[in-house]
Amino acid sequence: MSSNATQANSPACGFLKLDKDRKVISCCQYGLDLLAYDSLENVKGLYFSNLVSLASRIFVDSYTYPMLIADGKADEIQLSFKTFSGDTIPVVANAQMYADSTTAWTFMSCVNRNELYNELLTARDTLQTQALNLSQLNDQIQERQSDLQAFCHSLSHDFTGPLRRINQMIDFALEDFHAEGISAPEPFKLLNNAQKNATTLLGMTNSLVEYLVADVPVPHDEIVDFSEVIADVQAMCDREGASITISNRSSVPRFSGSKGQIQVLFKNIIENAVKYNDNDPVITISHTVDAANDLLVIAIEDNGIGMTNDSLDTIFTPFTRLNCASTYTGSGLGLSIVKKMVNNHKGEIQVESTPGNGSTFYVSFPYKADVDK
Amino acid sequence: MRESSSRILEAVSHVLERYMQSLRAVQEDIIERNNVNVFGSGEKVLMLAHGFGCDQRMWRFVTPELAKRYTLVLFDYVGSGNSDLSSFSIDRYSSLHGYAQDVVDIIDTLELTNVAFVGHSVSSMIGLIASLDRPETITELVMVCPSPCFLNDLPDYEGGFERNDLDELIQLMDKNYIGWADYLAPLVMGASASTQLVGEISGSFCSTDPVVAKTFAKATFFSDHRDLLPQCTARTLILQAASDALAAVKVGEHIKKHIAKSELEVIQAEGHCLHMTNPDVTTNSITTFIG
Repeated sequence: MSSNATQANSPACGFLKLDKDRKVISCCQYGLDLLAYDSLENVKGLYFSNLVSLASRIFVDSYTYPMLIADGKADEIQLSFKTFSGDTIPVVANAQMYADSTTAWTFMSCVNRNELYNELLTARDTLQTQALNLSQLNDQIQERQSDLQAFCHSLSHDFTGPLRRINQMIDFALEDFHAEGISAPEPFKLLNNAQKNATTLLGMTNSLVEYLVADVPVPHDEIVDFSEVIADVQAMCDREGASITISNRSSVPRFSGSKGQIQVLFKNIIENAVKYNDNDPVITISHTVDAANDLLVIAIEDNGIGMTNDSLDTIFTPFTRLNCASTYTGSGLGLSIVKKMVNNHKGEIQVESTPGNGSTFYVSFPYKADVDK
Repeated sequence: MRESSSRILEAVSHVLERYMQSLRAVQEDIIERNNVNVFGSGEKVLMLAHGFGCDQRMWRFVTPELAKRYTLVLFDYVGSGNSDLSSFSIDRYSSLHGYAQDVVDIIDTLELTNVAFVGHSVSSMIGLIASLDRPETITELVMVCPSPCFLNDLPDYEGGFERNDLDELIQLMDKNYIGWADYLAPLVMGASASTQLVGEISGSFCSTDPVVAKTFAKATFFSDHRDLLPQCTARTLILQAASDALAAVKVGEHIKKHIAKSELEVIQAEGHCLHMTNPDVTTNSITTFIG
């Protein structure tokens, strides 16, 4: 019994009673210990405002007392007590006001809670700064995107238009020469060269547009039917006299992505396989589903000229030409466009190749079986 | 000829009618924006303006008596009480001039004349700023526990607080809001949204949106408007509590010294809310002063 009584006399929280003028009437031992006062007599009669930090005074006057007067109570108030020796101690307090305007305060020291709050506030401030930075970055990106779109528009219209017209003019000139019976080989050769160069420039411009357009955001939630994509690419191959084989064609799953980009992506890989090829091009496309990693892997194997290991590192870099430009025409952008579009789909691309023995490109896309329903 | 002039008249009245309509809409907006309540009777208009922390309900202990003699205009500053939170902007309300503009807007909307402005705490200075803008309208100021500057500017002026104390106050407010408010909402809604709304916040009438409250706190406690005191031409009553941890009697004396037509009354009381803790004395002082 006696030990219970002792515990009741020294609970692990404080109690303070104030008169209507906010002067201390009573304070328990926990409170005295916390405030570092020797005896109740030394605290009695002190104004409450003398027992808290200056900031807490403002808070008590601006919030707590108005709440007490209006609602009769104020819960879970964070304050800082000021001890007799001048230290500050964070406390959490509940207060109640009675009809005679006296108030009763219960409180406990909350050093750890205070630390936690400080951390929370710091984290909040950091997050706020980051959110602001992100939104500024986002604004910049939006601006650049729209600049880029304007640039692509200009490139595809203002640049390619004149190039086409140059080609056309040369055609007309050649026709006129023929019509007038002029058949000197020299002017023809020069004009043919000019036309060839204009065509190269046109091809490069188109590739450049494709390369830049790959950065413009497009919806990636279309259901892509891979066999449709291949059918289109196959039509292109037929025109160029390449043979394309697709193993287990019927089981190629559908996946989600941007139809337009997927089409360009495979078109470019297959174009390369045809272009860098000294044999009759034979291309084999196969696929596997890597269920463990939620991946669909599509392999494109060709019988082309192949590449050395050193070359493999650079093929996806823009404007990289591994081979002699006069033998193999191209913009040097094809595979960098492929790489961008694969990245846009959160996919990956890898190549295995042996010089003289062809190459195999492995393109993998994130793939969940339920998309294919 | 007559026909055409009547047509012109018709057109003009049509334009006027539309103008009046839009004017009424703006007026209704202000009334709603600042949760304006008008009651009581009397020639004299008393605008009662709450201070930092709570809202117009702080005046409820003095309004029953005052309403018998005066027409009372009560309101909440944008961001406080039941005002329209969506009208809050950090830019406008980072200085007391933004709050004074609320007062001027209400005066213009209600076409008030013959106004005595009774402001608690920081509202005393807000009232003073408004009175400089509308000196013909606001002819009396009653300052309840005022302070033109809470920061010390020693040795000439003792506002009572150092910058550290006020930084701690902002932190303390933050810590208390964690328990009171939908604290992370502004963050979740993004930085730009935090300047706009924050919706209903449950709890006591003093709990308010953290962004709003901290903006008001900074405008209140970090500002120094001592230079405006000599410009004040309104007759001014300064009510100071004998023991006020926020605004000491010395601060009241400083104000009295610098406002030409002012008188200081020190009330034997503790605390910063005379109108709540000592409503009878406060009411008497106001009625004696205003007449």
